[in-house]
Amino acid sequence: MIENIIQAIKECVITGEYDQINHLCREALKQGILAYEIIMKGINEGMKVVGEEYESGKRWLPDLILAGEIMEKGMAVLEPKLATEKAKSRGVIVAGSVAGDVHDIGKNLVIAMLRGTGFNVIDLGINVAAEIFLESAGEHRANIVAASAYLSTTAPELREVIQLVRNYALGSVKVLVGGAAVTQKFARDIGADGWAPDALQAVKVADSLI
Amino acid sequence: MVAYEELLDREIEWTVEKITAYFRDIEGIMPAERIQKFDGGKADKIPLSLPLSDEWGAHYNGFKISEICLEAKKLVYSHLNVCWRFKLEKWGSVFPHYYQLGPSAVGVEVEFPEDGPPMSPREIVNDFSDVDRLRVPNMRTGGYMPYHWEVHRIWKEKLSDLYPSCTTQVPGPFDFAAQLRGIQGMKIYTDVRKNRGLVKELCGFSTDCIIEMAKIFKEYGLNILFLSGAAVGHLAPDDFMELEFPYILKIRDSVKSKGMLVSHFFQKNPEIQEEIYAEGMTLMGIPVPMIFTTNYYYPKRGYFPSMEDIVKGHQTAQEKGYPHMICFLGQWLYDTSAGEIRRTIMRVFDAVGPVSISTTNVPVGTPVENIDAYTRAVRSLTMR
Repeated sequence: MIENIIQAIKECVITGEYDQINHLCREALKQGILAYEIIMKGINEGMKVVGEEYESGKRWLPDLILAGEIMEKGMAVLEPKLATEKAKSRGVIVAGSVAGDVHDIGKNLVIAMLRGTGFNVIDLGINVAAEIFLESAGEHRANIVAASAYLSTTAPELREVIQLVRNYALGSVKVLVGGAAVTQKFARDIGADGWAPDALQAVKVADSLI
Repeated sequence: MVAYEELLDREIEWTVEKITAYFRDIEGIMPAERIQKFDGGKADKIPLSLPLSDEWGAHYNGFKISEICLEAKKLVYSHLNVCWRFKLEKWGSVFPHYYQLGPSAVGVEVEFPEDGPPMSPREIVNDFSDVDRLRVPNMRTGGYMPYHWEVHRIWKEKLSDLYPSCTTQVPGPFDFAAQLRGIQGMKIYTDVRKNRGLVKELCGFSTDCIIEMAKIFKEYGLNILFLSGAAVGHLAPDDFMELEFPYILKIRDSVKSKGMLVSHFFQKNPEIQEEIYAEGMTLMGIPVPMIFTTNYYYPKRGYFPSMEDIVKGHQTAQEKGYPHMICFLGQWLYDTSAGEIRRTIMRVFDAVGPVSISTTNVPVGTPVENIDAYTRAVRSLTMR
């Protein structure tokens, strides 16, 4: 029974059943399944399938975005329960588009994927100054700062973020970078701890950085 | 004292003179003639047009992006001076905000961040009732359209002898609709899956707006309407055939009697190619069948298509008797070195001979040396 409803939630994300997700998540909670388990085995697994199919060219952007919306809808039901369960998050990430950059499509996708896979992500939004990344990382005891740059002109801001985090962040805060303007070489050159070309890879890289 | 406006006029005229003299006296052939010869397979060199985004051109010429988005003469001069710098055979100015120009007439707000493409941050359509309220606006006077027509007036008056062919880009129906729905929020994509009827209504309305624009283009001597697309490129083949293609055909049929050709954004889906050809359209921005090799949809695999894809595309083109065009991501010119650019272009030509090569928009900040390396490599081919 438990497997059935978890499977139904996963299928819901995969097939884009937008109207069913809330009901299924509530039903799963009623059955006594932990929110964390629903997220990890249901939503997360569904997002993984959609992400992989998108990457391989079997799915298209509308599918990925719809899956992200379904995930967010389900998360709205599950997130309040997470706190009471004291479920262990996979890590805390503060994420945003760098100063001067107002693009958020890619960033939102990454955040959706990260949240769907069990990370606690604080979305700082767009046009985020390097200092805000640093402050927020401290405030939320983040494991990772994830910064995105869509434009070649705003990509140098990533260097600022990395330098500030390196110089002032206590502990081992890692910096993950990405965005249309950011190549692996550029990420390496500016000293990023991780680089991801898409949302799916971002999850894998974030996992490896924790 | 000469007024600044007058100086811009003089700069435009002087740059036209320089380009004319260069092609006439140094190259011995005018741009239009070289294009014609290349199309007939007899050109001495490959004609060049570069999609140097006008954001790149603005910075190269010392303008702010917002200036060239709002002042017609600055856009014209900016693009013309890029043509002069790289000795291009085609003038086809790309308005940085061409996705928003038409929608601005409908009421879409446009913001002009410096160092980035203009954007429409807010949707004007939330549901069907909003669509019902929409009326096709006056495309001559609405929004930023007067600026747009002024650019074309200047081209017709001052540039058309030098660059007689000018394609104009407008967003295709789906992209036009995406602007009305607020592209920044990606709402149109979820509509595609959840609210298909709304997408169709919006595409239908957008089509009517584009047809109104097309009528005015004709008055400015423009004969090719290129329905461009960024948002539409992310649709699945089936979605494309239902939510874009029928509307493209409607536009084509509406302007056919005026002698206008319509082409549309390439859709790299082998399974629908034949269907599109069967309607007399093409997957590329030119209204002839063409084999198109690009990595546009798969940037993770590199900025340039693999040599295997290029050779395969070339063989298919030869089998079908179609021209072959290679397109790579403009970001490549930003990220790579001049030496690597030269080597790559040479490898392509060694493999398949002279073919049309183009790029997507070259980003702001791309080193001028890299663009030089690219243009020189292409130019040197037929001089070896």
